[in-house]
Amino acid sequence: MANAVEISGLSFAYNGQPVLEGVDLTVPELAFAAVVGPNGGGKTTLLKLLLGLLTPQAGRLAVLGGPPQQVRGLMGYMPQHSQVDPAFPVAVQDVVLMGRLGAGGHWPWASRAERQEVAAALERVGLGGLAGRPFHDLSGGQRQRVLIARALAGRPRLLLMDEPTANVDAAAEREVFELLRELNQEATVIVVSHDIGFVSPYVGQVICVNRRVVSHPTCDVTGEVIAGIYGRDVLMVRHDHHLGCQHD
Amino acid sequence: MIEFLEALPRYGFLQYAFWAGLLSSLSCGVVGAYVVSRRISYLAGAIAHSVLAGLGAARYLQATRGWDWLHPLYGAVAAALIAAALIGLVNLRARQREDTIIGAIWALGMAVGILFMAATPGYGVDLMGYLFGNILMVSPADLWLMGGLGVVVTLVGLGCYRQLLAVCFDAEFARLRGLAVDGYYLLLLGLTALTVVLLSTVVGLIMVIALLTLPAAVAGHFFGRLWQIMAAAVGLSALFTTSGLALSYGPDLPTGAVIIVLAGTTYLLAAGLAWVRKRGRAA
Repeated sequence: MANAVEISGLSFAYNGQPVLEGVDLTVPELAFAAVVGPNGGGKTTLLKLLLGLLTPQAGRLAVLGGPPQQVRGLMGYMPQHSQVDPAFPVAVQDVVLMGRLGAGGHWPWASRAERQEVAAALERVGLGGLAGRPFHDLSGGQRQRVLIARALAGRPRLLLMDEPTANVDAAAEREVFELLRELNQEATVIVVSHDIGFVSPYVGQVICVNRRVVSHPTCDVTGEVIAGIYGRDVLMVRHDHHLGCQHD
Repeated sequence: MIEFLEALPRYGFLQYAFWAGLLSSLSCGVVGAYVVSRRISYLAGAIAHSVLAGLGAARYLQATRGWDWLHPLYGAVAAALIAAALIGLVNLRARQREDTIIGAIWALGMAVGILFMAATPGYGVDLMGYLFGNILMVSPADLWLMGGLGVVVTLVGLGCYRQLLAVCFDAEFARLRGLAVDGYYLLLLGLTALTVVLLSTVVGLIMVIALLTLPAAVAGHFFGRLWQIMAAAVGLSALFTTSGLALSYGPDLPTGAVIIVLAGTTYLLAAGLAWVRKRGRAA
């Protein structure tokens, strides 16, 4: 199968400060990968390089077989929670509609086809009844799902999510990952996460980023690997929802 | 109030003032809603104060060069657009310096305007009118200019609703969807600049930010979608300007100040009401 992401010999620096060095990375199509690592280690930078928002100083980078800027229409992106003003006056359906920008609709109002697309995306994230509700009336977990629906509205082949479960409680976090697992049937999913213990049951590939990048199949991620990336021992709590938690 | 209703059909200047208030309410509501939700009212404040430089320069050139065609509103429009472009470009290039450039343009605009006015022969003119507004001085020529400006700003503001909404809500995402985000941001600042000029003829440039933002802020307490806030803000703005005009006419009070007192009081009441409702819901 083709690769969703192919990176070789990539380096990136902010104002001369190296953030990523000598990155080689392959993510196969329809993979479910987690990007983990310490704060400031370059996780978000890697994501922004994939999105074409940043340009590497050296190396090769192909997303879905092309340069990122040319395949943006095929990517669905969900930014970090903090980037969106939660008090902004906008209805849920209008947020999701933004995922269709650049797909032709330029009238101030949505066409019928667009409304159907929006409704379908909301249905998929389990928010079918909330289309007309103000975004700021929703709970944190619901807002995250609206932003996922926005990423879905463009019918992406690659979903890039930056901390999709920051600011939500454990139950909502699990729902989000169950949803991503479902979406992974049709699209490659790359999730930035601070919580490797939580994501490990869901993902097949763990991309550890701390200036350099090391990719492992999830089954190989051990305490030593994590300690090597974070530079110290990390207390790892493994939740295994398929064996342990029958009651939910 | 009664005096106003009796005088309105009789005096042209009152009718011009009435229409000026209504015309500027259109763009006030539409652009004000963007400004409030994108949280750039301080930026509108800097643009407003820079308007004085344009007004002063136009008066100066009229008086010294005999350029009678140079209506002060042209100067105001030019100064506001230049200020908006400067702030916008600095904001796009070096984000962290935004507050400094705003402060600089705010004061620089005032200073340049005052210098021009001091240098204008036969000065004694309407500095106070520029600063605090004099809607009763609106002439038919002003009205045509304001009408044209207001219609253009409103149509562009509504026509680009979807793009401007996306840019205001999440600019990075909009950029990823292929939108010319920087262009739309500059467009929004340009619309803000033109609206500020319009409103400064109503309440003067010191109080412009209040008239631009308060109707949308009041509406924001009651509506959850931007277009609803726009519609409500247009109505509120028309209500504030018209009733301010009517209430100030009889006792001969400064109209701009009465308009702002009405708008500000309504805002405080709405904010209090929203707070009480929220507490009621939480309890």
